[in-house]
Amino acid sequence: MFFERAGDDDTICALSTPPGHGGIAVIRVSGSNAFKVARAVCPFLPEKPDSHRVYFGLAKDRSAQEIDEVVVTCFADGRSFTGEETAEVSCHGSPILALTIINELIHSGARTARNGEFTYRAFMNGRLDLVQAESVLSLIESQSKPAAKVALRQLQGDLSKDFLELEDGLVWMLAHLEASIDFSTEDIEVVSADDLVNRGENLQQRIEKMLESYRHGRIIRSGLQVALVGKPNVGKSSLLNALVGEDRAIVTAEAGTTRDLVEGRISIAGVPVSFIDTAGLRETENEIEKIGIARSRRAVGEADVVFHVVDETFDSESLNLVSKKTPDQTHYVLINKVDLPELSHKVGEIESAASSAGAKTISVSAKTGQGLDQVRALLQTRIQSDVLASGHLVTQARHAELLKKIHGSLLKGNSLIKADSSPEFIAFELQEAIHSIHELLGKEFNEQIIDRIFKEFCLGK
Amino acid sequence: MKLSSHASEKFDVIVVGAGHAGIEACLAASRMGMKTLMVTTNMSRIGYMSCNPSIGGLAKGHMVREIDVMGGEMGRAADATCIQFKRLNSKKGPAVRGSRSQNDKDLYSDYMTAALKAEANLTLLESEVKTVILNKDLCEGIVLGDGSEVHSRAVIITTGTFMKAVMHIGLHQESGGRVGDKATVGISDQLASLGLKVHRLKTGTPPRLQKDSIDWSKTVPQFGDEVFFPFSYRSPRKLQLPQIECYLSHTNERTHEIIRANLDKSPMFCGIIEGTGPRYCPSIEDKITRFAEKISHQTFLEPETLSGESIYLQGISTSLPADVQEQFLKTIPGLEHVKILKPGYAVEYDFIEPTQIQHTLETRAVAGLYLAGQINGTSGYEEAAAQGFIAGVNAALKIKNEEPLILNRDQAYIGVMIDDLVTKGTREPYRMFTSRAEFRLVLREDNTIDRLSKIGKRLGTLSKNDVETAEDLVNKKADFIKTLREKVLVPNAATQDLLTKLDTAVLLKPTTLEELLRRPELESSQLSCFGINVPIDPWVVEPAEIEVKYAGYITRQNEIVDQAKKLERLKLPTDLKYDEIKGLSREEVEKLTKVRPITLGQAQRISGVNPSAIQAVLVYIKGRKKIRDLQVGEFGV
Repeated sequence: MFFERAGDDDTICALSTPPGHGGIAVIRVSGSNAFKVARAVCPFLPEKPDSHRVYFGLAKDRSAQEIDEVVVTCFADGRSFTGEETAEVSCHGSPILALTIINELIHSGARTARNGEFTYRAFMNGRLDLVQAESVLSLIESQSKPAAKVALRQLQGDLSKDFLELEDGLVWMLAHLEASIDFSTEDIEVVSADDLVNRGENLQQRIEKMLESYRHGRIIRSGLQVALVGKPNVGKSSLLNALVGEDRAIVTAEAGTTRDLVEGRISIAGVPVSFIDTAGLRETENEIEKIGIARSRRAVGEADVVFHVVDETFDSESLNLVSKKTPDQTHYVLINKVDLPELSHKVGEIESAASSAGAKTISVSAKTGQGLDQVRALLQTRIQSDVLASGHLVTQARHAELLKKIHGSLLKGNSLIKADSSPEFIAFELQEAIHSIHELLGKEFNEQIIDRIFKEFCLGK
Repeated sequence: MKLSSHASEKFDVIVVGAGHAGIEACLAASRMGMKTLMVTTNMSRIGYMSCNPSIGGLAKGHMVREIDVMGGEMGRAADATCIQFKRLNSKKGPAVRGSRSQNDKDLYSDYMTAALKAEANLTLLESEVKTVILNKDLCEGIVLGDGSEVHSRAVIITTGTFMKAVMHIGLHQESGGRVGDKATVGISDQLASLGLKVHRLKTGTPPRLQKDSIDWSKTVPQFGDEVFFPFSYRSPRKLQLPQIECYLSHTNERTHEIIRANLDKSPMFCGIIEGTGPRYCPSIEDKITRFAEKISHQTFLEPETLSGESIYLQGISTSLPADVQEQFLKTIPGLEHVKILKPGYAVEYDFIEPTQIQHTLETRAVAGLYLAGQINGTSGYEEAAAQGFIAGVNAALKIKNEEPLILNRDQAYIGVMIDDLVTKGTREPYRMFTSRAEFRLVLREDNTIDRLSKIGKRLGTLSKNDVETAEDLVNKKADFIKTLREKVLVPNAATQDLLTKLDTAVLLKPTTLEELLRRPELESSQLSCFGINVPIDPWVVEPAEIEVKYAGYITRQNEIVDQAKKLERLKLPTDLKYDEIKGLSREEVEKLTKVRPITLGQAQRISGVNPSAIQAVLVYIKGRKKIRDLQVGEFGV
């Protein structure tokens, strides 16, 4: 087991700010001896420091040599993030200083925290449930304001509440079904099949909404992926450079210049947007270009938005480059090089092909910048709809996976009820669903899950 | 066998009580070679059915079969004295079917008395028991009513509802565990003085009516099943007694009005009874209060014996005054002129909080002292018998210095019940339900022999002949499944023709008979036309067919069982100091210390113990060994 070697009564310490040079560095010390250990390095701390109070003084090493001027924030047992006695030592932001202080703390009886161990202890001490613990990870990793906002709401327990309601609904169904088995020889109807089916469908719809929110949630958490696809030399790289505002991709007149993925990033409404310039999709004998094309196809499959770039070379094959459109994707046709007069007689043909493929068209020019604002506005609208949809967002792949499982169990259960199957089989499906929701909430002990979650954390969290 | 009026000799096992728990405890211990003494206050009430004249039912039928397969007596007694047999839920899936027999209660008692008297190692004694003999925390025998002592190496208390029992009929109370039988006083006070927690529970029984005073024409006869499946694979396959009908009638709004008007005379409702009643077997007062919208409740009129005049009124348990009972009964169709032989009444009694006993049913506080049956907070003959058997077996195993018998939750309903009792305790009379078994799909009546017959063989509670019969049934079932698996039908004209005759779809590709049998419309007996030998014995065919038809679910259930086993394999030392484990709440420390779980799986089942606590305990256990292995140089900022 991941934490099996970690003694549960140890005092642990670790650098809690990013490694490297910075204004300050914060070292967190947590455990039953946190104050004692901290005082060995920061002798100015009183015997019994007040909780939530800051102390200032000189940190000294074992031979009483001064290390640095530091500020120590103290949190009493039961009143800290981990739920344990905690001291946070802020020193000047040099890696050497921080390392020296950590070495001295270890010399005084602390040991290095393992990845995620502070959050793990918070979980163990009942300060957080599993879903909240995961949101700590999201909060730390969040790359945008909306993402941080969602993570914070999850930490405050909003999402747990949604899941708990789902659990309630499932337990209600199972309890009534079981009672109807237990009392099947009495003449009381505990619950009707119709009632069960309705409740089951209601829960299914709620899960569908949550899964829908996962699509939004993922975008807020990881950003929006936009793929640029098209035949070679239609100007995808030029467009990327124009959209990002710097020369990310090499642009030449030669078809097939871009052989691998090139990515450019901007921020729209606080959410990172990645543009992926794919290798021009065409039949080729060139091995390197072949690999690039395969990668392009994969990137397109994972994208949220796909821009089909076309120019005056447009023909009936131009929009067939992407074989599969995933249900969550939006596709647009960007008619590039509108500054060229020879394009004008092609526009009608392109527009009618696009509309029959179900995609809107936008006329742009990488060269003059025409239409690019319209592209950015379109992406902004898309992101804002995601942010607005964020009631309680499901952002974790683990949650989405389990929600899908629960949905599947409910679907099976309902079809069994409708087929008038024996209740023990319906109950079995519901038990599976409850098992999954318990796994989601961390209500059932499962060390693999706990390990997996806390392993994702970095040191010092 | 000896009927001693005094007993100066030393016994291995003493069983106090001759009810359903006491009988199985005595028989198991004596069949395992223990010199056993049974003490009862009333020798004429051995194996007496104090309440309903029937054995089995949903989940209870499962336990009767489990007891039987391990060498207990209840199943055979029920089969021999069956006067109506029904398989409940026979149209539903195999995991929720349950066998139930109506029994002639006098013949049942006679059967059990004879079974006890036939045991060479067993002595029966009619006497009161005042207290147990304690030597520090070791139980060494009992003190009889006359003050004389009888010594033993183990004592099993199976006093049922008799400990400090008070009977209530209306506002009238008297001491006693059953009409005509005295209460047991002394033992529960002694246990309480040792620090054991003792609480009160309540149960009730309906009135008994005179057969000839009932107008049967206003009731609806209820017949038993045409096919009889004995509880015991050792019983004759045919019914041994003539069969009777039961009769159905209903209460109505007038009945309910009378009851409602007199609720202040019901001891349960005016606060006289402090014990908790069984939610699952509610009195009629309870029913009309809790299901106020229901204008009628069903009641079955069940003869208590083949020839006697007493009729049991199933579903109408009550503790209202006798005159009120008469008044409301007369509103029920068929009972207009009814004569009551014995009014219904409630009994309030002491039980020991079962979290204080171990899975072996030995108390944690006193070695050699075992508790079984209603004294542990259960309700029902089957629940009692199962515990009696387990207590008798474990007392014997301990004396023989052998490994105890602890049934797992994936192995038997009995395992589920005992684990529930010792892990969660109970606040109301505990009755077994299929919903209590999380692995219900693999704990069926039909596969009981598969699950448990090896245990009977190991214990020596079964005769050599019985062991062979069980093994033979298991082998024949396996052979039949093998035949079904190996026989492949090819879609030729002859096959398709036979299938069409069987009213089932033709084949599109070669198919085994096993796959074919999974079609809901087909059953094993129809497969003989494909040139295989289909066994006739239902003890072979039924379990095989169920195993084949429900293989998908059974496999999925077994996967879950395997998952759960991981935690069951993690044994916890019983001397674990939970207050030293960091990360446990005070409540968790308290609960874990009280229950002293033997595996991490059991710890997880204690209500109020959170998964993080399980993690903490695991970390602590593993950390105790490895804590100092940690290297200081590991960090890499």
